[in-house]
Amino acid sequence: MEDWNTRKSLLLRASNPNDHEAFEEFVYYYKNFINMVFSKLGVSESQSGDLRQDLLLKLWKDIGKFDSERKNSNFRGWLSVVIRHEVYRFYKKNKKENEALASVQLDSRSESEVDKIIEGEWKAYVTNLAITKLKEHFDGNAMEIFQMTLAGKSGTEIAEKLQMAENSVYVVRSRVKARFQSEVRQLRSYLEYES
Amino acid sequence: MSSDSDKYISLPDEIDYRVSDFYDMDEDLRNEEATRLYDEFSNSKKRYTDVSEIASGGMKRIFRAFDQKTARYVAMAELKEDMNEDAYAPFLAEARLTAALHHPNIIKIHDIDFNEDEKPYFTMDLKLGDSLADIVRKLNENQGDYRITYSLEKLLDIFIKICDAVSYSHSQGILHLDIKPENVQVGEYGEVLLCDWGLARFKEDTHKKETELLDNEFLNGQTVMGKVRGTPGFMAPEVIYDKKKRSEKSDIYSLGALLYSLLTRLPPLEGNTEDILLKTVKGEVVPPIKRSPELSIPNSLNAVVLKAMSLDKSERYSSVSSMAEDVKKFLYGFSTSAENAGLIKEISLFYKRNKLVSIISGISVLMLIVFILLLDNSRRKEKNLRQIAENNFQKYKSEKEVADLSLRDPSAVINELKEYYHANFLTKPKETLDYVMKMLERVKLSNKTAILLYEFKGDLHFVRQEFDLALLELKKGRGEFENRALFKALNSITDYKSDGKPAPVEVIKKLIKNLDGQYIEQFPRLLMYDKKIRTNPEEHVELVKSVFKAANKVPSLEKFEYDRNTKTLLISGNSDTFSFLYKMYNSHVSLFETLELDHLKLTNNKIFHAKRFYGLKLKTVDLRSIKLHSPRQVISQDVADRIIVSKDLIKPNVLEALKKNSEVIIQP
Repeated sequence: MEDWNTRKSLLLRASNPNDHEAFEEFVYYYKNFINMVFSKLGVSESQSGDLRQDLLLKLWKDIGKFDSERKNSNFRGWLSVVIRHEVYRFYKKNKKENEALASVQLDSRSESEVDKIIEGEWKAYVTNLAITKLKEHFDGNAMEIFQMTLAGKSGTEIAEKLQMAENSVYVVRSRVKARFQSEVRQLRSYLEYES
Repeated sequence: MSSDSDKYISLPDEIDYRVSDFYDMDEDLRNEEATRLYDEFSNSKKRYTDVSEIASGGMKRIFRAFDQKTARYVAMAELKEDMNEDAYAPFLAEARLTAALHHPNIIKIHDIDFNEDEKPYFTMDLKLGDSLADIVRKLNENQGDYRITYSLEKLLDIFIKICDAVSYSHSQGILHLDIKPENVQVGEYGEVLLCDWGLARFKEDTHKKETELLDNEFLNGQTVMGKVRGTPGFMAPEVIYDKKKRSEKSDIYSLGALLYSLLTRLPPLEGNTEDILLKTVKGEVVPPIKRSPELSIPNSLNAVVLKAMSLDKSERYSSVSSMAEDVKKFLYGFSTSAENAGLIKEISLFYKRNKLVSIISGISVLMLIVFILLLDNSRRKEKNLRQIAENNFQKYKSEKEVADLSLRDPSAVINELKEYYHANFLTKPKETLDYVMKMLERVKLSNKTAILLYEFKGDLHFVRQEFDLALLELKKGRGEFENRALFKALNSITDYKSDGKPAPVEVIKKLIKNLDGQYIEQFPRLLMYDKKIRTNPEEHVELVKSVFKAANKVPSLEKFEYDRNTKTLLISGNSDTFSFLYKMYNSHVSLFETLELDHLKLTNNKIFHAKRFYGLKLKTVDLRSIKLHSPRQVISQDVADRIIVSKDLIKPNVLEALKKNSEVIIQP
């Protein structure tokens, strides 16, 4: 795992039929993400298995169609649209057989709203992966400072609570933040499509 | 999923949506830097590194040092090793006093503290470049391109900045007391810093010795206990006698000495310390013009130096800003020119007078002695001065000289033309002005002198009543911001296009009105020129009247009647300004110069003030209807041969005083 961020973009590699390892990794990361989206959209456990399968295949196949050169194109947007289409298609197909659909209430939301939700999940996904990475680099104290900062605590408050010099709080905080931003950047270049 | 987690990054148990913002947050490049800085700040124990000595004075040593906190080089002052703790307080006080001064031309203090050895230090701006002393020396030795870089204009510009700094410190109640070229740093990009405030004092300190901030003689190496503190040659005479006598005027003296150095490229006084001190207290200052005749130092600047270095404090400038003002006037001719007018006249007057002392306030005692010696053959001398001016005129007229003009240093040419202009305008207004104008067209343009050239031209056009052309040139000069009132007034008459003829009286009147009392000193010369070009004498009188009203700030007068046959002017109404005092030469120029008056009759004037009456040179002044109750109404000798007063309206003491100077005719 130590060299994961130096590799080529995961999606590019995964599209190579001979790179089994890449495909496996692709499935891992996107499966987790799709799970997050499902739980947000209210897709039931019973249906998620098939749908997830369909989605992963679709993404894997369509990745070549994403044209990053095109104006206004961004990977999250593309990803959201692909996922939304697939989810809608899936429900349309199974509408008659599945009464539970009503509870999903997909119809009541506008397409752009759904896209936004999916995009939001992607952001949360990538940044939360970065948090995991962050934990490898910083001790509990540093993470605590980071968490307290996220909670809106001031440097003075944190220093008081953790009984450390305010100066040190700033130093640690800015280090964690810098590292965090760097992790997010690396994850994005890895997990998202880049031409 | 758990098996995958070893290989891949796992999601936290709970998704934290708060961090989503970090997804596309611009990575702040300063962040890494900031982190490193925090680290440095929290860990740096030694703030200053890479310390090397750059200068050493009597009690202080100055180092160049790298400041870890601000990551730049600074100058650091420390006491010399052998200084004991008695020196600490004054040393720190110097730093504090300097730190209290916030001015772009005063060195800035960054830090005052004690070092590891518990000795005090302070840090300040480190400026690369020369001290003014280096510059003066290199100018004298003609090193490199110093004479090109540091033209007279450039040096005066530096001088004005120093004046600004001193003027500011005076406003804060602080005297520098050691102004000299060594203490002025000139940066590579023209920054000017007044440094070394080690002798500085609060003004009040002069009376309360116990509160003296920087007592002790330790701060300056040249200082000898109980003798003098300061730098001989630059310190004022009163400081040598009694340090309690020091005042703003002492700094003004030093500024005069500094200007002396800039003009002559030499120290103001020469000899060993004792000689210099002796010369200082005797006021034996060789005028810059005499000291360096080859440099053709302008008369007006010579006068500024001598006035500032007057032995008698009361004869010096009253403030630094008035001194700077005179230098500025030299630099940017506009309002100056009038003040320079009459130089020849004024000098010739010196010879005629016997009671010189009361009149000459701006010229040093030494100058006086020179004049007294010259008194015997004053007539011849006067003629000689004329002759010199004539010769210059001829010199310029030679074709070769004219051709050479475009090849010579423009700054020198402009100065020569200015001098020539001022020296000759009074005697030959039109010829002089037209000639100088013609010559200016041939002066080579250079970056350094362009503004001076344009403003000088603007000045001349103004006098020639070519107001549209004046505006055109002035716009290329320092511009509207520096002369708002002037631009506003000139802009109000842009309908008028000059055509080589005298401007209509109405146009000039409108101009005067819109100037609203400002630049009125410019008008005597305009009138002198007008006299030569205007064919209608009535119109000319009308103009004189307008100028007179504006100078007196009266919207109307009951009477202003001029009889050309008897050369008599009758003025009825309140007015007290009859002539202008031109500070630079202490000369008075009469507002009626062009009327060639013999007799002036004033009536109905309640505010008559004799001091604003100087320089008229009349046969009679008729003051019969004016109450003369106050000594300020005593007219001095050069105003009129005869003064007519009323027996009933004059007080005996005023009458006595008048009689001393003039023939007084008493009428019932």
